[in-house]
Amino acid sequence: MSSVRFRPSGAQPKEGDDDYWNSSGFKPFNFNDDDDEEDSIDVIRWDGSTAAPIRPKSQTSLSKHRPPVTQAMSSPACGITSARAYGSARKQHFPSSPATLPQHSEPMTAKPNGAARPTSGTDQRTLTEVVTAHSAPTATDFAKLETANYSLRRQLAQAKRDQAAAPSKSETLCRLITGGTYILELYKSKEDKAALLDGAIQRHDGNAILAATLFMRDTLKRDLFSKELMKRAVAVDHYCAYLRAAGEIDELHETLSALGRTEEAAMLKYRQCLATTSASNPEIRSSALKDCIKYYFDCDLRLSNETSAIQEQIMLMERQSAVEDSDSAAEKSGTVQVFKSHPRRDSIVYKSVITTLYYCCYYHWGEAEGLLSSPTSIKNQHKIGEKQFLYTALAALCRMRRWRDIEALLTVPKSLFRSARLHATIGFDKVVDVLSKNLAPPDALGKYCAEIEGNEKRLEMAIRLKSFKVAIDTLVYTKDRQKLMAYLDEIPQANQHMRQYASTQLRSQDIKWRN
Amino acid sequence: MTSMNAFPDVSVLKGLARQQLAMSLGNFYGKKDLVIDPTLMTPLDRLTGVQFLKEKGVDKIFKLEHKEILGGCDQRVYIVRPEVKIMRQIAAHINSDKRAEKLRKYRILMVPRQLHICNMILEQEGVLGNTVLIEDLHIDFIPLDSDIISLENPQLLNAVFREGDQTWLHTVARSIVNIQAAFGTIPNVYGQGHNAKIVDELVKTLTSEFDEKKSPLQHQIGHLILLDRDVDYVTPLCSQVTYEGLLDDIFEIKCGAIDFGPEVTGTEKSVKTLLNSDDAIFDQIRNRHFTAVFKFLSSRAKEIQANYDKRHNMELQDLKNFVASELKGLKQEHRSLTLHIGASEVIMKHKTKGSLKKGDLQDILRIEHSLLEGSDFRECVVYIEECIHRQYDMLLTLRLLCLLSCTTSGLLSKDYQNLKTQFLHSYGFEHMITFFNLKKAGLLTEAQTGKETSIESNLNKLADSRAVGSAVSYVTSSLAALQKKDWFRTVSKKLSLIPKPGTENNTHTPSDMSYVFGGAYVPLTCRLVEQSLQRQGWSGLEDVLRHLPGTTFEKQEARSAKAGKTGATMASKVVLIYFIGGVTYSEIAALRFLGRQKGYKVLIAATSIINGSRMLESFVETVK
Repeated sequence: MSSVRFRPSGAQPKEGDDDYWNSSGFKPFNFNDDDDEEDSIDVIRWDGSTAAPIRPKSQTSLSKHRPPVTQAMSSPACGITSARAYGSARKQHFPSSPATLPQHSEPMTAKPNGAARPTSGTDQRTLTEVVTAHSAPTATDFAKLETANYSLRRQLAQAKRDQAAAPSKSETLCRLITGGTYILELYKSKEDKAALLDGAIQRHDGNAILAATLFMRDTLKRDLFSKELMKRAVAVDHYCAYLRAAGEIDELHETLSALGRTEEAAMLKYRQCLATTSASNPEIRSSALKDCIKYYFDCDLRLSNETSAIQEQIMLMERQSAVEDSDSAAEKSGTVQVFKSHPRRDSIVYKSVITTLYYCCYYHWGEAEGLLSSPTSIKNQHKIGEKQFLYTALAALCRMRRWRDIEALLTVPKSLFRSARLHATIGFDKVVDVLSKNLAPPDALGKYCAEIEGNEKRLEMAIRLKSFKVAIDTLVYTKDRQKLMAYLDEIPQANQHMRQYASTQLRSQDIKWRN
Repeated sequence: MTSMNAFPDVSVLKGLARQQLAMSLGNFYGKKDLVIDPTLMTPLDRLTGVQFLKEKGVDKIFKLEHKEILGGCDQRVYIVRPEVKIMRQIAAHINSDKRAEKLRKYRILMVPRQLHICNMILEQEGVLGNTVLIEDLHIDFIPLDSDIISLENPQLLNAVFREGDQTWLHTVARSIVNIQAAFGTIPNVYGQGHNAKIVDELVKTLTSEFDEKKSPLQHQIGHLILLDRDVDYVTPLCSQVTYEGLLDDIFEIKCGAIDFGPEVTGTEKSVKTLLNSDDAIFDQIRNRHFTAVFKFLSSRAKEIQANYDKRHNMELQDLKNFVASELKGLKQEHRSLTLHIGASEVIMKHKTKGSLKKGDLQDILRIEHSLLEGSDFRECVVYIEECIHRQYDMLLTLRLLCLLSCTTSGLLSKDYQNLKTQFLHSYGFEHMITFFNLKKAGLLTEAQTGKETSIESNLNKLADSRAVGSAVSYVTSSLAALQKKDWFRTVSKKLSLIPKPGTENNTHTPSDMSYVFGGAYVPLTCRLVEQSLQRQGWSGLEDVLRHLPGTTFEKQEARSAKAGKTGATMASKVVLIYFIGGVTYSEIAALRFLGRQKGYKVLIAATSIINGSRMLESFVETVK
């Protein structure tokens, strides 16, 4: 939140800041209060006590400390690379305890420049003031100064030695989590890297986990990295998510295989295969899929269902491409009537089995099984269930207005013991539903509506579809005179024939009405 | 503390977000173009307007796409989510500018924070340099209404629950930290779920790392309840029947706004309108069961007519007053009434007629109720088969399939294979990937029968022995939790989620949360909320919770003397319920009802607003 807010103000003073440090004799002061906080403690105390009243003021202006972090990131002069390198030098003066820095620099800050940065004048004064304010400095004062001086020297020496020492791991993790600058490159030992990763996992920050993982990948030997990675399931998840997002499919596949997640690995390859061939022709895709089976699916018996599905897919593609070729040629030639009256909308290549079946029912109904475009041949090859076939064929034939074929489809031919009769495995209520939703006219529906089992269902459907005769017959069958009389009003005046029929039934003497 | 402050005013969050944006834009002096990540378009729309952006020096606004942006001035700001794909797109833009020797300054604002990989990608693509500046843009919650705040981050569901990627949980935790900064530290926290636990720990880490002082504010929110979506996948899989839920299912509500097409408006134009409590009519009907909506609308229409009619027999002075004060309100109500009546008609059509690809809502509801009750299993399977056979809308079919799996704790192997084969035939073989994804997320699983054939178990052993170390990822472990036998039945019995038959629930004047599903089912999440508030924690519920996936935790602050203060007692009646992975409008309606019933003020937070389709969509394979 506030990092955004204060960035620009942070960017400018920095140069002044550096100028100052370069021109003044206090360079060590800034550069050195690095991570050995124990050393700096006395300095801070001493400083803090003199400047205590000023600090709160500057702190309110920088409502959150950690300005340096923002600074490095936002300084327009440096991108991320330079920011990192920069950080390596600058990092030192922003030690882990956030309190150290502000206390250290801010006392010198405030006076002349308001809320900005330290200037040499102020600082100079602070020291001299201390010395001159008491004309007769006590021994303790001297001792204090002496100590301060000593520790500053030590810090300078330390800083020179530790120019590139890494801040503590928890400090780095904290910066990763809160969005500060950090340099992972400072961690050289494998243990440090692993500890960094473990720390990130423990803190549950995905960003830090991934950063640590990728850092390990880039700086450790391949098999060492794998070994460390595999020990940490959470890191694996993050790494895989990254590989997927970044499109590093081969690496992802390798990782998954190494983990024994063969199904996931196979799915990944299958997906990649489809994605790369989505614009190619079926021959290319099918040979790619064959390779895919050979390399990634065949090796695991648990994937046998998937394997056979892909094999089916290949067969389907071969069929689609053959049918597509011959049909588009036929359409172009302009000699085939059906393509003129019902122009093809879309290529069937790469469509699903059922869509293909629908297409073939639509254009190629009744073709002999030997042809690739024959619906029966599709049904047999893909082992399409009776119900599924019926639903698809009914819809296609209805759209084609081939009522006779529908009737043939729903008729069980006469056998030795029974005459021909209508039969539908899906039930006639569904037949009527499919037909009506495919916009069949009422007279085509009546016949099947009458076949619906169950009086209530039949009546409901007949009324909904305005299949008057079926409705009247059903009401007569259930001997429901009241309802029939009411229903009479619903038959439009124009349909005199049906009104007549209903009235006749109502007057009929043969029916024993219930009411 | 005044009574005004009793309920946290979430519009403060909107102000904060605007401030962030203003700051980031303001710091980039001069004229600039804005390029916005498409997924951030609507959320930003809710926060700002074009006017606001213009004031901040924005010249042109573009949508980020995978193609070059032509024209524009010499400064450009990108507002994007920190994603790999997007970084590559930006890099492509910058590189093409470089090639064309166009000098431009860029700022990339990442919402809500920059990630290591993003900077890494930009570095790899060679675009970092002194003309490119990367900044965080901390926008998290978008207030959608006075009681709903959302991160509007739907991709979180897939990332967290399928891939086990915790990156976005940081954002969730951060949003809680911000809420606490604005409304005081929340004393009582209850949670259920693997990710909820992580978020709770992250909140602690972040609070200490950011060195936020314990907020000096008197807390305005007494309880925080954190729930993982995978604790209850069943609820979002059910068809919604409250008005707002139906609007979302049929028209899709985006970021609190809806687009009514010509079929609703009755004119040629579409109307885009905000759906929130400012619309008095909508506020009255949003939570109602649909059957109770029409009656209200018609009586309201009569009232408005009567009010209009008043003006006919008015004196001039009265008429003047009428025009000055009432007319505007009436007109607004009139407009909103027209829209809602139009929408209700369309909903009715969907409900009774069905269509070629959708099936009848009534049939679907009947099947869902059977599944929830656990009755007529075969009939349900047959219906789902019919959906597959008739190539109904794929998301509908998948929704029912997942509901079948979730309510029976996984399908029997035979049914699973059978349905899968038919599904692949109908919708395409590529959906075997969809099945895999759903399995990984725990939405559609094959039950472990326990009596695996010896070949199978040997195969598994073989495969497992090849795996190095103990790489049991979160996903598989949560799967294991889900596969506890018949956990849904057990839980629904113990929490009495299914009202006993015979206790007819009146949908007009509901007496119980189950009204949101027509009296058939009390959303599991909402029951958990009710119980935890009632018990002030989870004690006594261990028996139920151990059946749910993820961990359970609670944190309570000792009742101090402070509790005597009026502010604190008031706050103890304010609850923040946070859904990690999204919340549905049905759950929101149920929780509002619960709040009214038990005297709690409910604030709902979520990572996004979902419904069955949107939830499943993120798992569906799109390669053709």
